[in-house]
Amino acid sequence: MIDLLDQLAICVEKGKINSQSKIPADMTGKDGVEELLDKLLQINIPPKTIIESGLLKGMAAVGEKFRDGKIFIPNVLFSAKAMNHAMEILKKEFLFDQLQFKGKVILATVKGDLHNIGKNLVRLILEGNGWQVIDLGVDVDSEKIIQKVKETDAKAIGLSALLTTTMINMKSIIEDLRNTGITLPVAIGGAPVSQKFAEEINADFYSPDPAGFLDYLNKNLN
Amino acid sequence: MNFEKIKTYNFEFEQVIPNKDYIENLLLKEFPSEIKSEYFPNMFSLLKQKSQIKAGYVWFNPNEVKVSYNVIKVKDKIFDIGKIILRGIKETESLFIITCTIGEKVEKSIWKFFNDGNSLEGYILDKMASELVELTADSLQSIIERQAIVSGQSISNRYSPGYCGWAVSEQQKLFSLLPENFCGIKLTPSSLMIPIKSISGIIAVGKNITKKEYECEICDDNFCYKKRVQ
Repeated sequence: MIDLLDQLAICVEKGKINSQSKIPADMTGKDGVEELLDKLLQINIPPKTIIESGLLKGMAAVGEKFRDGKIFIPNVLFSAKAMNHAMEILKKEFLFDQLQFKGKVILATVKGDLHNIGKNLVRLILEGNGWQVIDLGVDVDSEKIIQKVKETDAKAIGLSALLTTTMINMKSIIEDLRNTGITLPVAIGGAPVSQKFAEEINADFYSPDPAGFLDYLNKNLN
Repeated sequence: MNFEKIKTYNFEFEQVIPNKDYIENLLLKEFPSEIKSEYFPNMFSLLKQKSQIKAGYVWFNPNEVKVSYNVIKVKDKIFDIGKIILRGIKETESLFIITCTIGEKVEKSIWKFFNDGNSLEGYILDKMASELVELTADSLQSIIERQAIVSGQSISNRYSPGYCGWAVSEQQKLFSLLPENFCGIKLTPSSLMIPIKSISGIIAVGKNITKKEYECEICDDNFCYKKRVQ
């Protein structure tokens, strides 16, 4: 069983969906996520174990390699594709409210900004590592974030911006959150943002990459 | 010599991208070869099908352009372009403001991929679209360069707000010098161009202007987004 779970983790890490998949080239013809899930379910391995000891293990390796610059964004996306495919299969076998997530994180691209790829990448990395993401989308103002914080038991907020003209809206969002009495940690990211800027606007954390945010969450809020 | 004051172009896809391999080679470093062979053909076809490529310029004659310490004045608008860009255009005699876009249909397809959970496809199409809009700007720049050469002049690199120390907020002034909705591009209050896959900028023209081959290497702005993503 452990061997099958390890193989599953490798398939997620490498984005191997099934035996017919041409990706990755060095695993052509070998079992993929589909076949391994079938084998694991046939020997009655609980879906929760499959997720935690196979799928999430694979995505954790992806996050680490991406952080260390050993793989690039397309590899992460391909792993996420394999992961999502596996989850779709498991949905038929398993009630997902049995899953114990590490916690909820609210993500948003700030008001005035419509760029969503960076935020989507953070979402994939966090979800693939056991965090439940509440994605508020793009062009998000303080009011929407405050409302969502009140409705949920989120543990942290992640704000993204790609423009120097919109990153300043992070400051007003943090001020509005604090003025409303919300003390949740706020992390910021995006191309024009820096550690210095994070300190200037009283953000709790800055990371140049999604894996840094994941590490922060795992260390401080898990 | 005078250039046409305002000119717009509707480019065919093939005018901007010579062939499929060209854009694949631009993206070669980031994408594993098996992902390219599996996904690129469909994404490239979609890019071709959805692109609406437009480009244009407004030319400002020597009486309308003045360069002084760290700023350039175009008609009544003063641009704080910073020392890096100033080095490239200080010999300018006249100036083009350029814009180009590949339209909003590609963007809608990108968003749909992401919303449907197909992030890899969305990401590939987004990268291709970014290359396409850069190639569109290259095509427009080549047209301007040919016109300049005919008149015995040369052109600078193209410089855009948001790069090389030129604040993106200066887009507002730049767009105020263009006809409304020029090339179908609108500017939001946060200076974001809609469609997002658009480029705006300036190209200087003059007898003593030179184009730099490796712009990021001569630039000393270490906080520049373009440098950080390289």
